[in-house]
This record gives sequence, structure tokens and C-alpha cells, in this order.
Amino acid sequence: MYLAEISRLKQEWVEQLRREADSSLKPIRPQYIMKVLNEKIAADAVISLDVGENCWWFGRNFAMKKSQKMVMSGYLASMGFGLPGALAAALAYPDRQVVCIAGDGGFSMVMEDFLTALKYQLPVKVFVLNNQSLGMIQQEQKVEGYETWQTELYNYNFADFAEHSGGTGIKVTEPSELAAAVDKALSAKKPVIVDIDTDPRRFL
Amino acid sequence: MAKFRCTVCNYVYDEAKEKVKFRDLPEEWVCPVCGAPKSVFVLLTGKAEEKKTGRTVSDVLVEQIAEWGVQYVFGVPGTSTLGVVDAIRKSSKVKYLQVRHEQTAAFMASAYGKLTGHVAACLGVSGPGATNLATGLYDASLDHSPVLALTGLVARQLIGPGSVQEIDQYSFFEPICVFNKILMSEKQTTTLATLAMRHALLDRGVAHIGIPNDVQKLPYETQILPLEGRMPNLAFGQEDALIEKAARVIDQAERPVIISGFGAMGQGTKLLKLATKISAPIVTTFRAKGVIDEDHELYAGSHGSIASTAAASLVRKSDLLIVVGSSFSELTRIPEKKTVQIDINMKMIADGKQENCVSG
Repeated sequence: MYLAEISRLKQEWVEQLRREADSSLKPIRPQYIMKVLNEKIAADAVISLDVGENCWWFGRNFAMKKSQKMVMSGYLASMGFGLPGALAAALAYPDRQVVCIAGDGGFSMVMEDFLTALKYQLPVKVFVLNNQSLGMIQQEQKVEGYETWQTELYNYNFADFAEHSGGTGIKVTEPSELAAAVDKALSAKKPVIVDIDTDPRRFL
Repeated sequence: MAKFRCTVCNYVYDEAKEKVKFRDLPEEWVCPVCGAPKSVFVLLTGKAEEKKTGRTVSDVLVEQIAEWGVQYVFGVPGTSTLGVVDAIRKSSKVKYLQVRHEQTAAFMASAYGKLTGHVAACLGVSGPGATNLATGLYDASLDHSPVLALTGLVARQLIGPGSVQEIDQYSFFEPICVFNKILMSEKQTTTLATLAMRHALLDRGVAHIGIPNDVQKLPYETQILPLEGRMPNLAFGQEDALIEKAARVIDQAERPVIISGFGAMGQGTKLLKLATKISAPIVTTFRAKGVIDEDHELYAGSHGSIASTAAASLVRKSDLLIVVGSSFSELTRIPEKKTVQIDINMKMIADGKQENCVSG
């Protein structure tokens, strides 16, 4: 009885996540990004998370494997943790794929140290969910009935930054291009930034 | 042949290279770099080169932390850390990674501790280098990651009277750290370094040693304190009666749910064995994602602000929670109900947020 209920509830949740991962919408829905990352990231990858909408979506929609590792800023919940966490992971686990998932807000707080990845040839894979906003705070403004104000961010292409500084940069605007871009990033030899145009809205 | 240093810009006039003795230069000669007059130049006695051959406090400090397995120091070099940076350069065991901002150095050390359980160090200069470390160190502090923070301080005689880049560094680090000391005498080098490592690992937090600029460069030679015998075995058990009571409580439950926190990381096989035996679902906190494969049939999702519908429903309707290695943060939202709690941290047990708790 109880086991059957557990199984049914789990199935319903998995179904819901599948439905949410709509690949037809632009800007790209975060649920679809998580689905693609879920399918592509190595079974023994080390994943470093930043803080914000990107982190919330990862926690909710990404299904971790026991053989993967994840590191995040838990109680302090500090933006800017993602890239340094990935640099540390690349040093601690030189034989494993190291992935950083960040938003444009958190990544821009520490982006100068992408140069450190280049200097020491730490092949981190940075996925910037670029929604041109402090998405989580914008969501809070909505919930609390405030105007959306000062939570939009200047639109910057972080893939350009990667290319200019000597790494690999990939810009994704079309959902149909995402899977190939992730493949390319995960097989890149150099540190790489994938800048993904991401829908800032939590739910439609 | 001698060398003379400009005390304004540190340009070095080398008689051997210039082929003209410094004293033979005309009086109106000025520093070719900064234009300072000849009179501000001082003779380089060669002492600077001499002192680099002997061992210093910094060399001993670096060797002592290497004895505890520290492999990496992350930092931005500066005026008040040159002694320590040079000791790392000479070390065959400890590697230095130069970053662009001290916040990154501290985040990296924090992440390294969370991922591996081992200590990495971060190093910043007095004043701005130290304050830039703070966010990353607070991250380590709140998530119980073992980290060694090293900072330079101004020379001892300037601590107090005030000087450039001097702040009250001891007080600044006090709320962040489980161990916080200023190395005031060369004779404290091995003991303070050893204590810092012990506290970082046993209290699971940030240990800070501030090293005044002049102390870093003092000549010093001593025996390194061996690691062996300086770490206690942390394994412990619980009395049988308490285990049996917990087993009875679990046996009586009809809808038990296991909630796993980060403290259960690496114990997924045992968790699954328990879950299978008592037919209970496993729910995790955010940081415990990956404790078991999420596509396992008994995994119901995370709880709290990122909750799956399944986890939320099962926890709501449960008649017993078995909470393993989790705090009770407002993001995880573990409700107050009958609970069996398992944790290695005594302070986490029955910390007032749970009722009817069987703990051990």
C-alpha cells in the first residue's frame, strides 16, 4: 500500500518534470536546460552551483546520480560561489568532468577568476543561465507585490568574454541548438563558458 | 661593486651593470624611474640575498601545514605576505595558486573542504586582502567546511599605533573562526600551525593565523611536530537501549519517511538498506542531493523550497521522520513531528526544534 503510493507519487513528479521541459519556447525554459544538462553531464562529474534561480532549478529539476558530486554555498547562500567551487573541484578531482552552473548575476561577481582557470589550464565547463536579471529577487518582487525594479541586469554575452580571454565561448539562443552546444562544451579542452539565453520567468 | 636602492620606487642601481660607481654619478643625477634625487638612495648591503638562504618562520610554517596534508594555498600576493609566498615557492609539497580576488581564494578553500574533507588554505595581505577573504570564509563557517586562513599583518611594532593597510585583524576574524591567533613569536610557529589544523578539522570550521610581516622573515629552525598521535579517533557508538528504543519507534510507524542531510553523504548504501528494510521513502535536503541515485524507486525528491510534489506529500502525511545528518533550516522546512534523529554532531541533536525526539 505505502510502497505503491510512494511509487505513484514519484511517477507523477517525474511526469510533471518531463512536461515542464518544453523545448519549443524562447527564451529557453530553465527546465529544458536542466533536462539537457541531466542527459549530458558525465556520470562521475563534479558540479559546482551558484546561488539564485539557476540553483533553484537545479535543485528541483536535476536528478543527481550517486556517482556525481555537488558543491554549493548552503547556509550562507552566497552568490559568486559557483566558479571558485569549480576551480577547487578541478584541482581536487583532475580526472573528472567539472561543471559550474551559474546565473549571469552570480557569475559576473567572480568572472575575473575565469582567467585563473585559463592560467592553470583547469578545464571547467561553465554554464551561465543568462536571464539578464536577478531572477530569484524579481520573483520575490512579484510575490510581494513590488514593482520589478533594479533586478534587470545589463545584457552581456559571457561567451564573448571567454573567447576574448583565450577560452572557448558558446552562445545559445535557440532551444534546438542547446544539446549540441552542451556536447561541444563538455568535450572542449580549454575552459569554456556557455552563455544560454534563459527565460527569467519561474512559471508561465 | 655594490647595488643601491631608491627608497621611493625601489629601483635598484647596479654598479656592475651600469659600469659607473654610484658615488661618481653627478649630484644632479636622479632616479631614472621616479625622478627622486640621488640622496634618497641607500646601499643594498646584500643582507636581502643572505637572508633568503637560511630558513625562516614562513618556511617552518609551510612545512608544518604540509605535515597535515595541506596541498594548496590560494591567494593574491602582496606586501605583507611576501615571506610566506616565498616559503610556498620553495616548498615541494604545497602548491600556490594565484587568483584575481581573495574572495575566490576563500571560496575555493571552502569548496575544497566541502568536497574532500581535507584542508586547503587561503592567503591574503593585511587590510583589504583579509577583508576580501571574509565572504568565502563565512561560507566555510556556516557550512562547517575545514579551512585554514593565513593573513599577513603589518610589522609587530605597527600593530596598534596604526599604519597603511592596518586594521584590527584579530577582531575582524574573531566571529568567523573556530581558532584565531596572531603569531607573535617564532617559537609559536609549529604549535600554532598544529593547533590551527586540529581546530579546523575537529571543530569543522575556519582556523586563522595572522602573521606579522617581520615575523614571517625571522630566521628560525626547529623540528616539525609530527601528525601522528595528534588526531583522535572520532568513531563512537550509542548504548544498545537507545538503539532498541529507536527500532521500536520505527517498527510502530506506519508511514515513516527518511530525511537525509549532507551529514549522510557517502552513506547512501546504508540509507537504502534501512529504507528497503522498513519500506520507507528517502527524501533529501538540497545539499544531500546525490546521496543515492535520484532515479531509485525509493527516492521521492528533495524537501523544502525545491520540493518535489512527492516529497512534500509523503512528509506531510508521515507519522515518523528519521532525520539523518540534517540541520533544520528554514529552507529545508522539516516539520515538527515524531522524529528519530541520527547525527554525529551532538549539538545538532534535539536542538529544540523537534518534539518527541529519540536521538543518538
